[in-house]
Amino acid sequence: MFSTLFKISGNSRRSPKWFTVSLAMLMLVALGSGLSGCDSEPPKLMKAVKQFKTDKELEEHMSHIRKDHMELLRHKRDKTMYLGIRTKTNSLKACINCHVPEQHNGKILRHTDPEHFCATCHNYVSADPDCFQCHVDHPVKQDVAKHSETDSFTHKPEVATFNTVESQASEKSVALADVSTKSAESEVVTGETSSE
Amino acid sequence: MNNIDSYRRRFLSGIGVVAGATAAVSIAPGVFLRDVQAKPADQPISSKVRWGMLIDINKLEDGGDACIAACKKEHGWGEEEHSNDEQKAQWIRKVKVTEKLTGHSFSLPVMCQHCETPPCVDVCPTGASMKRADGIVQVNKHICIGCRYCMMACPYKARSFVHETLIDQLPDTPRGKGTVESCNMCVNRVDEGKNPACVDAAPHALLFGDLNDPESPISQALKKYGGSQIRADLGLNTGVRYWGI
Repeated sequence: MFSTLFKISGNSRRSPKWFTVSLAMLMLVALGSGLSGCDSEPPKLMKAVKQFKTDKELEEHMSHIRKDHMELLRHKRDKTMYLGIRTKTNSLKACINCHVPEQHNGKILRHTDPEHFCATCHNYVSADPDCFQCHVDHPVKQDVAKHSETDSFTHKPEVATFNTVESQASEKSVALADVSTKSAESEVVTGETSSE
Repeated sequence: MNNIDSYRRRFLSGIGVVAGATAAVSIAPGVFLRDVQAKPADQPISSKVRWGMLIDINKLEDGGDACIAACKKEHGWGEEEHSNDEQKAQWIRKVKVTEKLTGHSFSLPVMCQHCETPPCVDVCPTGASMKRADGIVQVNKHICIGCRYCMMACPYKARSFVHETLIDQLPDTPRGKGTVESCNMCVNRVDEGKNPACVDAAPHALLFGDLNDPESPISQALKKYGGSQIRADLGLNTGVRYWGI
C-alpha cells in the first residue's frame, strides 16, 4: 500500500519526511477511532430457565461453555452416536431445554430469531452453525403418556402367548426385489414362492 | 391399561419379580425369562448385546399399521409437505405380498433389518452409515453427505432421503434436509431400557430383545420355532426376523 501511494506521489526516495510521518499518524488516528467504535461488551443473552446458586458456579459455567461449547458438543455427539451415552452433560437437548423458553411473547422462538439464545451471539460474531437444520431449536415436551407403561424390556410374559402361535414360521423367504413403488402399501408379487 | 398390560402386571406380581432385579424364571418347559437391566446412561453400549426383533405376521392383524403409526409418532416422519409420495420418508412400510399361483396374500411391515453385515455400511463413503456395537444400524447425520449410495445398496429399500427443509423435529430424532435416514430401532428408547415404539404398539405380535443372550425371550422363541429372514439368500444375518412369511 505504501509503495503504491508513493508511486502515485512520484519517486519514493525523494518524498519528504513530513509526508511519511503525517501519513503514519493519520493511519493511527483512523485505527484508534475504528476500534473505539467497536462494542467490546458481548450482546445481552436471554436468561436461562435454571439458575446457578452461586455467582462462582455461573462464572465457571459461562467461561467454560462460552469458549469450548463447540468442542464439547461435538465430543458429546460422537459419544451419543457411537456409544449410546445419553447423559445430560453437554447434550444439545439439555442446553436447549434450559436456555430457550418454550414460548417467547406468545410464539415459538426459532433459531432464526435474534432473541434466540444461540442466535444472539452467533449473529454477533457472524457464525452460522448448522445444528438446527436437523435438531429442534426449542424445547419440545414429548408425549410422556406413551412411555408410561413401558418399563425396562417388559416383554417377558408375552413369550407365553408368543409360543402358542398356531402356525409356525416357514423356511421360505420372500423376494422383495420387485418393489417398484415406495408408496405406503407396496404390492409385491412373489415369483414361485412355492417352488423355493 | 390393556389386557396384555394387566396380564403382565399379574404375572410379574405372581412370580414376585421386583422391578430392576435380575432373575431367571421358567414359565414353560424350555422357556426361560430373564430381566434385562437397562444400561446406565453414562455407560457405553456393549458388543455383548445384539438387539433383534421378531415379528409374527399371523398375529399382526392390521399388517403393521399400528406399528407404522407408532413409528411416525415417535420419530415424526411422513409429514413432509413439499415432497411427493416417492420422496416422502418411510422408516417402515407395509408390503403386501401375493403368491401368483395361489393368490394367497399377506402384508408385513418392512424396515431396516439391522443386518450383521450391512451393505449400506459397506458402501458409505464417509462412514455415516454405521453399525453400533450392539448391532443397531443407523445413519450418523452429522457426517452424512446425502449421496444416497446406501439407499441403492440396501436390498430392503429401508432408507429414505429428506428432500426438504424441516422444522419442529422431535428432540430425540433429529432429521434434516440432505441426509439419509432409516429405522434406528428407536435407539434413543433402547438406550434408556425401553422397547422400540413399534414393539410397544403391537406387543402381542412383536418381540424385542438380545439375540446374543441365549436365555432372552427372543432367543428362546427363535431357538424353538426358528424365524425367517427376508432375502435370507443374501446372507446378511438380519436382526429382524419374521414368523409367517
